[in-house]
Amino acid sequence: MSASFSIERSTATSRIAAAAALVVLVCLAAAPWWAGRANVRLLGEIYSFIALASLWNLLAGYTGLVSVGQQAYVGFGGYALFALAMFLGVHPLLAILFAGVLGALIAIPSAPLLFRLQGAYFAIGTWVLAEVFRLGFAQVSALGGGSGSSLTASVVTGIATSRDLREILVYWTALVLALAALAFVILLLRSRMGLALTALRDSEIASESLGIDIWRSKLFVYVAVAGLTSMTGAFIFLQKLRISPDAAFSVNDWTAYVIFIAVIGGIGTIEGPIVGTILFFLLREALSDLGTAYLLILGAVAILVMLKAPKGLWGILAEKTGLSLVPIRRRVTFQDQ
Amino acid sequence: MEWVNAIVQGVLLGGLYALFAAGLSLIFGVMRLVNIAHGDLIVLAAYIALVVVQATGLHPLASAIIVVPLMAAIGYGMQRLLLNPTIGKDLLSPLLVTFGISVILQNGLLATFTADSRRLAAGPIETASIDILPGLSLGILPLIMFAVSVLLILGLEWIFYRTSLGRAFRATSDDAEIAQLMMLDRRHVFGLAMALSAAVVAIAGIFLAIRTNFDPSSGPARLLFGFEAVIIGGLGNLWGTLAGGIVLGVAQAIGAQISPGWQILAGHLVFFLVLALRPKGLFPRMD
Amino acid sequence: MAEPLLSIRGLKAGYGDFQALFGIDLDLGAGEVLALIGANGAGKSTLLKAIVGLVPCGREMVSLRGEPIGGARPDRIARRGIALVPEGRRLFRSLSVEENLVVGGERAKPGRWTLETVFRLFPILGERRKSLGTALSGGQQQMVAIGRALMANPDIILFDEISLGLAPVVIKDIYAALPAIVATGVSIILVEQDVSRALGVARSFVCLQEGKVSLAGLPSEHARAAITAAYFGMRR
Repeated sequence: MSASFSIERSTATSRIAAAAALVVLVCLAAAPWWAGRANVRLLGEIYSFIALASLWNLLAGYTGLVSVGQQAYVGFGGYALFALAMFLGVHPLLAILFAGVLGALIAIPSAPLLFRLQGAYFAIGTWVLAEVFRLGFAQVSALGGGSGSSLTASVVTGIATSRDLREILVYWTALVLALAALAFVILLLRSRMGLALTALRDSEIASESLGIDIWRSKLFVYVAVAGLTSMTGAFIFLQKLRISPDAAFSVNDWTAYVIFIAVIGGIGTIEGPIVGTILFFLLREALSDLGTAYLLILGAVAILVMLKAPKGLWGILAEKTGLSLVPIRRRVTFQDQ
Repeated sequence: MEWVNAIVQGVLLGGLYALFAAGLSLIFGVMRLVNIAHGDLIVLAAYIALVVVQATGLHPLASAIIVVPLMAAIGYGMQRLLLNPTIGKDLLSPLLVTFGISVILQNGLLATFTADSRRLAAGPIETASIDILPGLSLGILPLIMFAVSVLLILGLEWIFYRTSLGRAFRATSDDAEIAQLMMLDRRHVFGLAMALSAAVVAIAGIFLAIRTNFDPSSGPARLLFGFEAVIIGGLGNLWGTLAGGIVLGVAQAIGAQISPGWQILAGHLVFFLVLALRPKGLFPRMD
Repeated sequence: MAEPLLSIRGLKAGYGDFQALFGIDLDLGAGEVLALIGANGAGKSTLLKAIVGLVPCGREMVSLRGEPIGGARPDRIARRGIALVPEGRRLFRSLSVEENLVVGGERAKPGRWTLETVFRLFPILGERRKSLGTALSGGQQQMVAIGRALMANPDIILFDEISLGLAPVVIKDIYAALPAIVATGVSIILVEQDVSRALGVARSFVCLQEGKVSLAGLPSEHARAAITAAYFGMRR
């Protein structure tokens, strides 16, 4: 008896999920027409966290580069946008793109230095880099030094003259950014390099036999993530209209929250950061009145999840149901003839 | 003379940085763990010292007899309860748990002590100094702290290389699996390593509290200084760590002479410079 | 017959999803030297690791003096008097020769083996006591590994691949030390690639093949051909 087989990546669930995602996407794109002004802003913020968490997850969960210093690129992107828009008169939306390029460029010399740090010391090294950026930008008096600066009115109106159109454009920018970050993560993980990196995470020997230069792959991922993180940072501060070194390079806002999101959602899964972001914003809306107690709860929940369910919410769900909405793996299906 | 003075102050400050670094280096050496909450533990020790001094009227330096054992117990408990379950799996889990501990410590301290910055008054010894040269005088307190730091590093070296506990640490670090066959319970060995680290942290915290203002968010900077001292000095070498602390202290002092905004930045830049030119540190361990 | 010192019944063990042992039975009497033979991948190392607790197994599967110890923590099992000389020596690389020996014995009950008696057994180790263990030749490292196990004054020593990777002349030196160790009354399980050498030292043997016992008994009971067949898993 002979058997034929086909290799597929998509599953029935993933095809349904893709269709559902398309519907959701259209609804989200239309949000400015059905959601209030404050909610549209909130959605923009949610998209930026989905992007940040997905990118951090790619670094830590797949590439083994555990960074606690991604605020370096969030803040750098923000400052790059301010500088480009205010001093060079670049259109703000275009400046987001340039901020990404600059972020990637500055990551190229930084990465080889940080990669010299052994194991977990890499994490602290990334934090030092972020501090260098913070203290450095605090010295730039043209950008307001330690107290920061605001986007001038002419820059803001430069996006679009009508307020409604401006807000729609900014909102769509956030949506496109989040989608771009997700698409980058998915495409990378499906590539040969992504498979090698996942293999590296699972077994060092396996990936060596794949013959992929691990150091270069890590460099590529680090630099690309830095660029996309800078773009997200540029967007965040375009929406805020104001930047200061402490806000731009805040370890709490751009790393602690992001790690929390990835941990509760599920490190090392595509869906985890999305689920985690939704959960994080629900928690924030419900508990933020508690002040410091809210942060205590976040810290405790993150530790508890790491200890008791290190695969996070999505990891548990996927394990129990075999669900995979964004399939990375290829499946072999045999058909008896 | 102003510059000489700055450099001398930087050297003395380096002793404190070496103390921040020693505890960090110790647990990395034994279990390859990088404790992101290390700086926050230093600040926790500072607050405990504050409470002890207020409650008992002890001199801040004497508060060590309570703060050190208390911190050691906290360190042991933290290791057994929160960190041991994550050790050995991967890099990520222990790192993120210590990150969570850091968030909890900072906000716990904030909720208990508010964001006001505090300081421990050490009495007349704070202003006492000796004149070395005309225009160059050394504070008695910074000198005591420097001497204690050197003695503590000497003590850690002795424990690490001359005692049964140190052999247990090194054997577990070399091969944790086989070390168990030497009747070593690795969970206990790791607990003891964290306890010893926390005991050093306790002294560092008391010194920090006397030397500078501190508040609940002072921890991360101390973690970074300690980390930089370790890397500048070279991994696995406590005397190198002392030298690394001194290099960092001097770099900061020189930076501060240029402009106050450059104090911390100069330290970070020297760290990256060393990483670029001597990735194994200035004094790598000879094997 | 007196109760065996170490008794293994229906031992199943493996690594994660991979099962390496499928129901092993084995008895080791006091003062007995048992050769554990079998081809590569037969499960010999896994069996030794299961005995010392490095590979998990069921509680009732391993008994020491009639008490179940299977799956206990490795440090607890070591305290009960079982020592392992691991494959590849695995000396503590940052410890000197002397420290490697001391760390093996400092938590154990005192007995006939001390630094002096180990140095008398392997004089070269006394000369090189201050060197790092890893600075020694392969044979000398094996002596340190054996000495480290002896320092615990165990009742049972498990030797995993005692001569693997060593030069013939060095192997002779190692084997020359065995009678002195056996004479102290310690029980031994010896894992060895060189079957005839192992059978020359051992009173009894167990042959594993693909995780099962394929033949066991006294060397004199079985023809050499039968042992070879059990070793390679050939049908007769």
